[in-house]
Amino acid sequence: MTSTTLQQTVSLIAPMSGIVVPLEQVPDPVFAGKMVGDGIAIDPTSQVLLAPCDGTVSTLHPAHHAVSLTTASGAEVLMHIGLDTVMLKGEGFTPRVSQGEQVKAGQPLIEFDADQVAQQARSLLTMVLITNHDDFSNISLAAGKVVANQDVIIQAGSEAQADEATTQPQSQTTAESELITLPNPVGLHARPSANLVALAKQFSSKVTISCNGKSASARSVVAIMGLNTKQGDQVQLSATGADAAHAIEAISQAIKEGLGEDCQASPAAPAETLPEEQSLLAIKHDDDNCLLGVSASPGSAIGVVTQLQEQTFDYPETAADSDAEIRALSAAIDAVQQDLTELQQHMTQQGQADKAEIFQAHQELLADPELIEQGETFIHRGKSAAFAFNQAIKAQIGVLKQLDNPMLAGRVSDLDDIRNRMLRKLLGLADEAMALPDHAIIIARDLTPSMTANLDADKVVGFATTEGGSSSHSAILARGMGIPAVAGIDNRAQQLANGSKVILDGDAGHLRINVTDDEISAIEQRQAKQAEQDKQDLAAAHDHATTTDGHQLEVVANIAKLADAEKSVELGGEGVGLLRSEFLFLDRATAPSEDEQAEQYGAIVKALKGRPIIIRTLDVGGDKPLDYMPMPAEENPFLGERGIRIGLNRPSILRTQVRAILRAAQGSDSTVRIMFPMIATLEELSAAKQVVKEEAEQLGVSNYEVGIMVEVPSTAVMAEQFAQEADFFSIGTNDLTQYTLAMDRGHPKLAAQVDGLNPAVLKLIEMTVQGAHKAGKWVGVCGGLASDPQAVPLLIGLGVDELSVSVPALPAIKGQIRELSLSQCQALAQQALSAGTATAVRQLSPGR
Amino acid sequence: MISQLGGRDNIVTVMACATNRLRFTLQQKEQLAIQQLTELACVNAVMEPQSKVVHLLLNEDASPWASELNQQLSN
Repeated sequence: MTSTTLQQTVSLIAPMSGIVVPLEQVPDPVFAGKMVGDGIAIDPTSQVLLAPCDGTVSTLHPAHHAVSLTTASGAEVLMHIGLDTVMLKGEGFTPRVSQGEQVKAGQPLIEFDADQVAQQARSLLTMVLITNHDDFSNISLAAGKVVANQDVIIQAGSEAQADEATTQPQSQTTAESELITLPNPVGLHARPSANLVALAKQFSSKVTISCNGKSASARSVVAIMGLNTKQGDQVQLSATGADAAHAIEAISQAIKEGLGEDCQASPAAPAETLPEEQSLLAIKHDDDNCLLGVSASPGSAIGVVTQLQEQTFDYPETAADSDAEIRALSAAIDAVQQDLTELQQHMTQQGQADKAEIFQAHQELLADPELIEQGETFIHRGKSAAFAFNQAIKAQIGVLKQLDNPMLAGRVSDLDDIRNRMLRKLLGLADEAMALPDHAIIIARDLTPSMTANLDADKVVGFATTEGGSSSHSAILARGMGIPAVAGIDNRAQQLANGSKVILDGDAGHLRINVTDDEISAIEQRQAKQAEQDKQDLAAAHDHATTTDGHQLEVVANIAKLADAEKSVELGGEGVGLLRSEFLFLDRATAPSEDEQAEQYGAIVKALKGRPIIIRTLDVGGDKPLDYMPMPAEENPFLGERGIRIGLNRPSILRTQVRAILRAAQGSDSTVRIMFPMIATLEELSAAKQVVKEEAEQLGVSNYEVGIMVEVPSTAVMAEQFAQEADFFSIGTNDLTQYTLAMDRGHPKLAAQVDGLNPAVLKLIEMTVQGAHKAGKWVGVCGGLASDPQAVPLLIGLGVDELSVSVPALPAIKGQIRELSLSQCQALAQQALSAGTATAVRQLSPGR
Repeated sequence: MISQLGGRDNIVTVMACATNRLRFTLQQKEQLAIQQLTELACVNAVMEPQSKVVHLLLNEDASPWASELNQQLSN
């Protein structure tokens, strides 16, 4: 430093009361090593951070634990309350100023709850630092006890930066990094920023870091923190100077490695950073001819492999005339928007609202100003429009892929689709034409919505994609087209030769390859046999379901609306075993009135022409709330206020519904049965039954019964006691299985193990039947097991009296029962009860 | 130290937090002898962030202190 420099001073008063701790003793290497700046730490005994001098609030960290001021003399003063307090995300901190605000010495900046923060953070030590301390000399620091707004803690003299001006200009080069995705869980806060600055200072080049449209000098901790970065943000470095390229390389590498932060172990890091592991329970397949995936749309199909190749594009990276490229980009965007509008209209006209919606979404994605702005930025840097757009959209795809959010990850294929459209437009290529063979089974990485819109639906019999899941576009479209689809299929599928014969099993989620003609004819024979069987069952649909040894079962239907009731009668249904009353309550702004409900139930009872009906009272929960009945978010909705618990806690809803059901029974030939869902304790049943009793007496109705769903293990175990109160039982096997195994049946990783044929569930069914029969009550099954041909013999063998099945399955289940003998079913059920696993049970009972 | 906090009966809980802080919750704050607490060699400063909550700022890790105090209080 030379003596010609201009002296300025800065003097800071204590921003809080407490004990001064020398920076070197702060248990954090970044502060102790003075990497952020020079100053002191205070162990506070007050709970407000005051401005230590006049100045402007240059940054206020979003987590409100750090603030910096710029003084008139150019000093940058950073105050950082506590260590690792950024993790508290603002909890316990209340800012009293905002960024850009002018403040006077002594003015409150941040209030904090010292007790709360102390219990959650590693330390309350508050650092008061001059971050551009290189520009200051003779820094003197206080020690001991200080009192807020009274004692001077730091004094320093400032020198104008003479050294830089005297440096001889060397050969200037510029360099720029790629976009780097920040791995740091809370972005570039004090610690990683300090490491970045320390590294940047090792180079003579001027390095700038930019993010979210803002840029900052890589030598200023405060400026970097002011970028307000967060995890997954993309930053770019640019450098000017003799060692620009080296600087970019070294700093890029350091950012990718987390700037000294352990980004892997952080709880905030998305789970995606962990490598996928194969579960120990995964079903192992040693059949090389069977490629595994997950079911995305049910059904099975025989067809020929049709590989959908992704279009590749060839374009120059740079362009000379930026203005022309900007115009080309803008024209292409307009043209693609036009195409998308037309496609949307076309789909709407064809009645394909779901596809129309997708193209509507594409228009919005393409209109994203950030995307366009990013593209233009690249063009201004001398890139071609195609390269620029590709880069810009790639950045967005990168961000989406980072997020641990399956909904947004599904958007990747939308962006891919837009990218391809734009590039074709920019490069003047025609839309991909697809000539498909008959019985095509499409194999692709993922199907973009445009691909599926262009597919000839008459020729495609199935999809298999290596990416995507059961919620991807291809899955939704396949289900809409009624064809099977498998997602996440083994990558080997992409190596299959076009035209080779394969069998796609959308139920099991696999693709059989190298199939022989014999196998195909065997399957075709089986399908033909199945069709013949269906015909016979349908013809006999109105016959009783009586076993070969003369035991008759009641086979009834699960329905959700009037049309189902009519259809069930047509298909031989002997009544309704479950009317899900939710249809009356969902998708509306107000609760249905008693009159409206009575009318609807009455119409369904009438359609059954004297056949019995079980009407289940409203069965909703916190996971599927009704618009007009807001329910607080629950930590465990499946263990929360759902089923009868809602009716008991809001008796007006239950009472209204009970009255409406009883009114539907008035003057009808049918026995109308009221069934309460999710009963777990006798108190619940008694309370709900009391409501029915009161209303029935008032209305003078007697052709009714009161029963319960058996969905909770407690009810199955105590069936004998429940049988004293309930007229009948109906087992909801789906929920009973989920509550018995403590596995969410919608959980993607557990669903495969949630099998109602688990011997534990069968045992609970047996207990229910025994308890009910002792009191002379009957038991039905209305869950998924009743329609499962492998389960039917076991349920009969366990003594179940009634099966309530999905309407289309009525003829087949009745047909199956006629082929069974009760005594054989009983023997089989005993074997199943002593089996070890659901798989073993399924082997015992292979179905029809 | 216990007596200056109003005796064993006045101390509801003791814990260590923020590395060097001994945090006490008290039955009532009136019995607190702040001046005498500050004079203890191990205590740098005393803070009352809330009524009935006291932090003693130590010049070392507070965890051993907390476990020792908890032991004494439970005996």
